[in-house]
Amino acid sequence: MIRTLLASLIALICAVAPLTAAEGSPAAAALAEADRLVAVYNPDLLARVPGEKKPLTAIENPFMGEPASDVAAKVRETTWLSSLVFLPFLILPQVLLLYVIFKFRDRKDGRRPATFTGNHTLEIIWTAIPCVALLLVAVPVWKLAWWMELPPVERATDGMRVEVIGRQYMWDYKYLKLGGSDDRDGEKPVEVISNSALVPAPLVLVKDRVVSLDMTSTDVNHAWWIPAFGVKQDAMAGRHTYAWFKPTKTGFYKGQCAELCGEGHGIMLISAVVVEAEQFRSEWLPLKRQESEVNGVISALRPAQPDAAAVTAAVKAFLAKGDTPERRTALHFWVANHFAVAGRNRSGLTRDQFASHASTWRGAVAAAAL
Amino acid sequence: MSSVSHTAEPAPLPLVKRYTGVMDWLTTVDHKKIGMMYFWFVVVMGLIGGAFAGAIRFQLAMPAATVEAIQAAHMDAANLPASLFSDNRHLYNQVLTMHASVMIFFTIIPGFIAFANYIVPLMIGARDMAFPKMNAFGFWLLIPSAILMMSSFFVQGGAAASGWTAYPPLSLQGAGTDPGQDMWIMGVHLAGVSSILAAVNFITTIISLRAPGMTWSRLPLFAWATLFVSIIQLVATPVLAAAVTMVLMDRNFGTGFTKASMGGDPVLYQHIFWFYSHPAVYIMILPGFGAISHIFAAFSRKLTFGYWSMVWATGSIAGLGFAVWAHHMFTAGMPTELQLYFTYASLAIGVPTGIKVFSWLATMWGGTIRFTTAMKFACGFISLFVMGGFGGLILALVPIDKTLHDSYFVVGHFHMVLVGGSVMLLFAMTYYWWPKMSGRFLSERVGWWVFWLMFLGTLITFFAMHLSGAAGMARRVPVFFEDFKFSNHLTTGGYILTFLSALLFFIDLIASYFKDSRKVVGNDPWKVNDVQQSFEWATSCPPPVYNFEKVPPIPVIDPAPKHGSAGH
Repeated sequence: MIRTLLASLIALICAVAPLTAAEGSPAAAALAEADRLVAVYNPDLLARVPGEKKPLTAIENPFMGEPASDVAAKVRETTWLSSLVFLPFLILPQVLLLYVIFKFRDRKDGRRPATFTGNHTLEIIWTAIPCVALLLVAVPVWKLAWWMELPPVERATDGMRVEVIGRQYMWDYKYLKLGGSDDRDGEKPVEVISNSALVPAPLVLVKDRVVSLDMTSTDVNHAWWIPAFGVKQDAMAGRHTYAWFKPTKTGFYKGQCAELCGEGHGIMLISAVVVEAEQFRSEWLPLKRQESEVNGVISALRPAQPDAAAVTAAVKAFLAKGDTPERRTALHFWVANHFAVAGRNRSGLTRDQFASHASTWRGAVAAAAL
Repeated sequence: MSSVSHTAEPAPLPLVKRYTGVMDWLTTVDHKKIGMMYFWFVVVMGLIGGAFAGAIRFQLAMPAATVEAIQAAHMDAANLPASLFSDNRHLYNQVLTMHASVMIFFTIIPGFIAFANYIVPLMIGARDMAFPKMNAFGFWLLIPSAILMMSSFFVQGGAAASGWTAYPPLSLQGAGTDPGQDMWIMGVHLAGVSSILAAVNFITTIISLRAPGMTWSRLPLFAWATLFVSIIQLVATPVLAAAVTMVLMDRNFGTGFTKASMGGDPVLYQHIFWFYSHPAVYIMILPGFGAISHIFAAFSRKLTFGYWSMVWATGSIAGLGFAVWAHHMFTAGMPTELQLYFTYASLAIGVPTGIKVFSWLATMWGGTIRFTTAMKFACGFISLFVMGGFGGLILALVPIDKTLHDSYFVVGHFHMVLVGGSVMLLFAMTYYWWPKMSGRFLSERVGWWVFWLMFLGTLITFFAMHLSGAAGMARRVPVFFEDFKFSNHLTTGGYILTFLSALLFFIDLIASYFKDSRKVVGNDPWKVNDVQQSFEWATSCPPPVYNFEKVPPIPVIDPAPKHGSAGH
């Protein structure tokens, strides 16, 4: 999927973003790398390639395709099993109904209606058989419900713990524990703060690493739901609810808030990215750890007509605190992210105007960083 | 028993008639006139509620109803494609709240009360309800209730927009400035009082006004169902009043029942709310279960199969209904033990429901079936209700509900049982009893279209909703992911069919008053009295004031004879 995204991304850049930095220069390479990262960690930002009808990302059906989490896989198994057990109770009445309709229609042939009004044997049968069917389903449901309650032992040793905070109409995440060996002693928890309902900051997860979610809300009730993971939990003010799952497939996942929370309910989107442990460690964590430091540059870029001197000064100040390839990648990533999330119509520009605005100022940042 | 034999001609009752025309309707305490007013109130409210549904479908059918379209507009200066509520999502929430409130409080619940009011006293051989004035009062409470809710669209901040469930803290927002939610709560209170008064009246009527010989073992199943439902209403409705009063107090009087910041708990509200609102689901279907037994028997020319197991099944559904409420809140967080208890209790309701379905089929078995429109709706009901029930069994399983809860799968499920169930039942009852109530037939030819449009429309609309939900579409959203476009368009297409059906029905209903060819002749136009154990076909169509000139004789047929013995 990432390869498709990249291809579309390059098409997008060629179409709308003539870079001011020269082809093949280090500045251009840095910008391209930033674009690649945006495509991985927030593909919603590139919702549509101009001229193409299909969106870049699709929502995954929790009951079809390769399951995206262990919970989804088990839930799917139980769904098919119980559907199979219940299916006769869906089909049988329909078949009997059709039979009765055709067989016992009054054909005005003088047939007398039957006169029976009860049959104990029949009544016992159609009371007992559903009971047996319910018992058949009761056992796997019992097992699965307890399995979903108590996550496997990895959670304690290796898992990730994230506090999920809903607010009208965005989701914030606080990594209480990163899991694996990614936690640093004494470090503040890594936080993901959204600033747009429509383009949510994604929760980044690691493939095959159990994640437990502690959910709460600062205002009304919300519900965190990514269908592909088979997990939904209400987030409520004054309460902590809890869910866990183990993502088993890399990719980008999305969902919508699932508890009516006000006028922005429908556009209170949720997104998550599942990456390999190595990518998480060497790519995303460094980006996150530099995020707050890039803020100076971002605020210089925020005005509709940024001040070139201020932008250059902010970039220089950022690099003065440390000039490593990691920090440079982060700089370009967060700048690219800023332009995408801010939205083009915010500044009242047309699409082309905004594209040139964004590429001008991304180029300016790249130039200042040289 | 089609004609009542008179041994001695009684003196006609001295009727005191104070008013005529409009004033007569405004002051009447006659259960038939009140039943008729309920009926027309329900028809009008059903059309309004249906129009709200239309507004929702219209929004979801528009190109700007996808998340991707809105995201693209956010990214680009390209204009957002038009949609009904794209500039006013708050209004969308108001409309969906009112759609549910109107359909539940003013259409389906009073819909069954309309028939119970008109038919139950006739069935049991009573001359009126036990408390005629209270009966009138109960109806007239619904009018201010409906006006309060509807007019709240025009106040500051608009109508209530927190869903018919009114979960706090969302329903607490706008307190002090926007009175819409408060008006909604007062409307619910009035509708609740109306419900309770009706319940008291039905219980008393059925217990004490049965004609001599109408013993408990001969009580018509519709009267049994009304009795059970009235008990549910009497016990559960005050609990709803308590729940919405907590919100009212929290909004206006500084209490903190549901405010976490004051030591309250929003989940407390949810438990109390669903303690009413799950039994309310049965208030919305059990009376129809009772009525449909009469229709199957009537048009199969057989007696109802398994009378006592029908009664017990209805009773146990009513009882179990009080013990399953938390299956509406599986994602709100509760101990696994409780989740499993509510799962199993919910599944258990499937057993008595299955007994009823199989008994209806057995009632038809071996009969000589006439497919009148009423009978078509009754058969359509079985088909659709069983589908809705299947979805319900899946939703009851807590691990699966964690995926499907608050998705369109739930919306599809409860509409399949409410439209495929309750509304089909109401149509069947209307076609069956309209000749008795108005003295006019509804057109069987139009009825063919009304049935097939409604049946196919319901099937398509709500089956497609199941698909959207299983694929991951959330409830109560004005925009959805592009992946759900196909199933949403299917839903909208189905809606158009049901809308046409309702429109045709409405026109035919009006037309029935104006065509002389529609006039009913005789007491028993369907020729069904010999397979009914009730009195309603033993009096004229429509019945005279006070129903029976003379207390009807004991029914000659025993609805629960020993096995093997002939019914008649």
